[in-house]
Amino acid sequence: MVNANIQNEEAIIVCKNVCKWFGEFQVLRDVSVEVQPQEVVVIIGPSGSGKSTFIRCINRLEEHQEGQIVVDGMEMGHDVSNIAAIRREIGMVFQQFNLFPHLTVLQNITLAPMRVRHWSREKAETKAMELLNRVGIPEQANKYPGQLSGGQQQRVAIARALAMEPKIMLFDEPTSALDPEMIKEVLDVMKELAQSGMTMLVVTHEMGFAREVADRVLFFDQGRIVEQGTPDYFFESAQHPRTKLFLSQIL
Amino acid sequence: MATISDPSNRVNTDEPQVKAPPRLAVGPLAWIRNNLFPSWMDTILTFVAAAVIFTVITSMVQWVIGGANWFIITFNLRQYMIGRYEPQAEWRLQLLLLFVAFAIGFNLATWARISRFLVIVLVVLLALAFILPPVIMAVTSQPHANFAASGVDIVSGSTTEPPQPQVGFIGAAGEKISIQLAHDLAVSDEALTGLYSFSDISSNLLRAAAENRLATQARIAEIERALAADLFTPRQREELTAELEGLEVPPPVVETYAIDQQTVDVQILDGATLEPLASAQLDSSSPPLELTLPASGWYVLDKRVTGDGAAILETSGIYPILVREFAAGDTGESGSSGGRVLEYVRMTDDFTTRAIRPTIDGDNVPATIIIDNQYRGTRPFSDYLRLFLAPMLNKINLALLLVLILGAAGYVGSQFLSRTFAPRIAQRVAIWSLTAIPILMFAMVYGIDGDGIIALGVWIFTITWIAFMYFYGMKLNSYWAALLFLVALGFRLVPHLVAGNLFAIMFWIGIGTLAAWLGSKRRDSTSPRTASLWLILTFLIALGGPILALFFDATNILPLTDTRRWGGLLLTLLLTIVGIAGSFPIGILLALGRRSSLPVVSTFCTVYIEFVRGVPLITVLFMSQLLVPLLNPTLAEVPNVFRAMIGILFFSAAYLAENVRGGLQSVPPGQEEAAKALGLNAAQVTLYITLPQALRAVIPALMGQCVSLFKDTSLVAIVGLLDLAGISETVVAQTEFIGLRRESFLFIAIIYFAFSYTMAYVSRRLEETGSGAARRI
Repeated sequence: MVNANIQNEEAIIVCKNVCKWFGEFQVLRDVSVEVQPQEVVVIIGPSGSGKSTFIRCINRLEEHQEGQIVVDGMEMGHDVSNIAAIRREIGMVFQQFNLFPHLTVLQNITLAPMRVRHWSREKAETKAMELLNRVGIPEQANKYPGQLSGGQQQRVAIARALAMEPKIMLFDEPTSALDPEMIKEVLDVMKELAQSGMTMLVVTHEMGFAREVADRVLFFDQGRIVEQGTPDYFFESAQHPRTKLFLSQIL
Repeated sequence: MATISDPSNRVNTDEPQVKAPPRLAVGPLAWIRNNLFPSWMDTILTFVAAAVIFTVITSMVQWVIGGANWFIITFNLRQYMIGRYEPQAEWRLQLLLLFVAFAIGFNLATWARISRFLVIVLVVLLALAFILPPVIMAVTSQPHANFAASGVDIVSGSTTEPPQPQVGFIGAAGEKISIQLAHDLAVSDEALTGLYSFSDISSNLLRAAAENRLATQARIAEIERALAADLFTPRQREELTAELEGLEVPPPVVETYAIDQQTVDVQILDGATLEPLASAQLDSSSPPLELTLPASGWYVLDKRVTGDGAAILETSGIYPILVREFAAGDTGESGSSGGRVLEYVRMTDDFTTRAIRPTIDGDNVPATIIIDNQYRGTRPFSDYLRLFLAPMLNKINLALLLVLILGAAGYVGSQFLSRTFAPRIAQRVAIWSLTAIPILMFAMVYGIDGDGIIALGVWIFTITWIAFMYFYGMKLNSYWAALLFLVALGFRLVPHLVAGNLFAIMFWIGIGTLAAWLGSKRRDSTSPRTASLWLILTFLIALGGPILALFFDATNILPLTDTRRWGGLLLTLLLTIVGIAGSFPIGILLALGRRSSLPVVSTFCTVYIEFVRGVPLITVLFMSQLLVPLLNPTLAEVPNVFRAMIGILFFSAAYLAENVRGGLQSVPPGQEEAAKALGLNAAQVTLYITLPQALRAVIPALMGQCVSLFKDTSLVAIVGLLDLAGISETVVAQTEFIGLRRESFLFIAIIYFAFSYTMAYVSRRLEETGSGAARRI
């Protein structure tokens, strides 16, 4: 798993030379990554390095302009039905939670399964309660997001993404908007999720989490992957001077 | 390690007790202190405001009770409410009102809670509406009317009134009439000016003459006082002296006409036969002449003074009447053909007779017509209660009771549904009942004809067919479904096949194919059971219309009403509700269209919105009346009301679109991203995520727009429609009610305010509680 240069037939996400520009400015420069099923990939890097943009390209919240992204065997292009199919297989958790404030927690979770997967209400609600139990807040089911703490909201957001039974979960700085006291409860849920075998791409600044849970760490700088490796390699013996500088500043 | 002796390290061990706040910090006293007198400037403002409010309110109340003539309202209430709407279709409006009351009660219970205070207030008001009229009738005495009897012409200023020996009046069997001389008025000129009650022209002239004399005397005294005080320039003195010389005190009225000095011969005659029923010679000490009327109809009061003076008779039981003219056979309205029937209505209690007016020597006897027998002078409170409040309450209390009962039924119904099933069920019913209001309103007010029902049936069949293609598409998996499909297709296509309309056949087959194609693209289709249920439901609804049309004479179920007779509050509400209900979908589509990424769509929407916002409503209304028929002459056949309605609708939609666009912009982009990331498609994202939040964010603006639309409908008066403001103009134009503009305007102002304030209140509640709660993350 360590060596990304080896082509693996079973990779669930394959990115080849992905490039993206915002106007004249190139945010992604030939990013090539493969992610295996059940692998947990943590992406770190300074702000503005393109790491968020990269994972948002994977479910087409941003459109890449060159290169190729293949998710679960489906090529991400302009085919709308392909995009819809890919999005059904990818769950995403945002820094700002992005819960729907006008819906209750339960409605937040059941909306997509009922409308996209056409589940019956009973099935969707059973699944939602199961997930709320899993993230530890079943008693909040009928509250509105505004009545919940930040940590609880983020756990609801995770449950909402899981309700679609995705094969892949994307986390875009899930703990950055949380009070220090609440970070742990969210990280615990994510650890449990990683142990259960979910394929995860996590953009985070939580080095403890990366060291403990990640199978692989990618370091982004100026729109490209500067260095990658296992947590042990990355945190103990990183080679690239940019990586060393970054680590020396945050550790 | 630092020790506790270090002054910067300390543990706080003393716990201050929890205390009650200072007396002046809470309660009404604190409120008064903080809100009315926080600084000397505010204190001044408080007193000034209180003085202004007090002055305005006292003078207003004085006028309402003592001066205003509310007959214009009690008499024209029907016109104010529904204009000249056909009386035989009035039951539909009553039914509609009850349904609306039910729906409002249902929605209140579903989305909010009514405070106990409000319930108590409503019940008390309702009880008062029933209890007050009989109490007023029992407690207050009958109002009286004054009639002058004179042997000479009565002169006041430039007006001269010759004596009227006879006056006709109407009365019901068993009523008591009493007539005596008004001694109190005859004491002096001052007493004469205190005359109040219905009075004929002559007695009013006497009062006016007395007033004129007193006013002249007062002016002379004032000028003399001023001249004596010597405060003026020579020029001003000159002017005042000149005015003084010009003033001449008229002769004292009471003495000139020797009021109360002579006897009056009074007779009451039967209106038809002119036989005397009672007679007396009245002087200031004689007991009143009393008579119990033997039958309902016309009577004549004959009054003659023996000498050369005048006398004022104080009567009770003789009241002003109003004359209405009907075509023979018509029940409610003046028509054009046939003979005329005159109907006489007594203003004080709606007693009505069609008996022939008495004539003497071929001429009509002068009658107590309202125009000549207005209420004069300052009205006492008891007369206000008896003449205006009690009749008004009697007219509205039954309607109020029914509305409140139906509202309560709706309230209880919603709670029953929530408890027995689920709040979700009640919410669904509530939304459907609200949606039904505009449609039902239109159908009930306008009516449905047989062609309309059949056309509706065909359209529902069409929708069924398209739905069928969409749900089942290429996968025909049940025989009965195939059968339904063929029936629906046949229904849509056969008329065109018969007519050989190739274009229509191609069009509908095309639509069907498109639906089938879209249906085949659906990955997870709705369960066949749900789809079947929907199909059966639509078929039942669709079949209902044509079957009704076959078995009954459909034109007689809800015959179309004449739109030109719609008016009053009914028309105002119709324009408002249709305007709001119609402009909502159009406005939302325009707002979405303006944000669309397709340049053609967004340009069209932008141009439309900016153009409409750039012209006044009045222009749009005139365009719908004048320009549209020029574009296509067949459009001129569309009734005026509908053209105005469509004009208002499209006008309002442009403003609504801008409000909704504001709301859409306020929804954070993260919401759309999160929804997309969950796999919702663009339509679902808009429908379930952005639009609900956008609409909630702009509830105040939307409600403000509803209120202004409600008030703007008064502009349709300009294109000849008689909405509440328009009908007010026609009411005050009747000769009987001339000069009563203030009363009419105050009344419609109260109605406009009541509705507008209710809308504003609902909007506030929507923002605070229930489904409109601002639930921010």
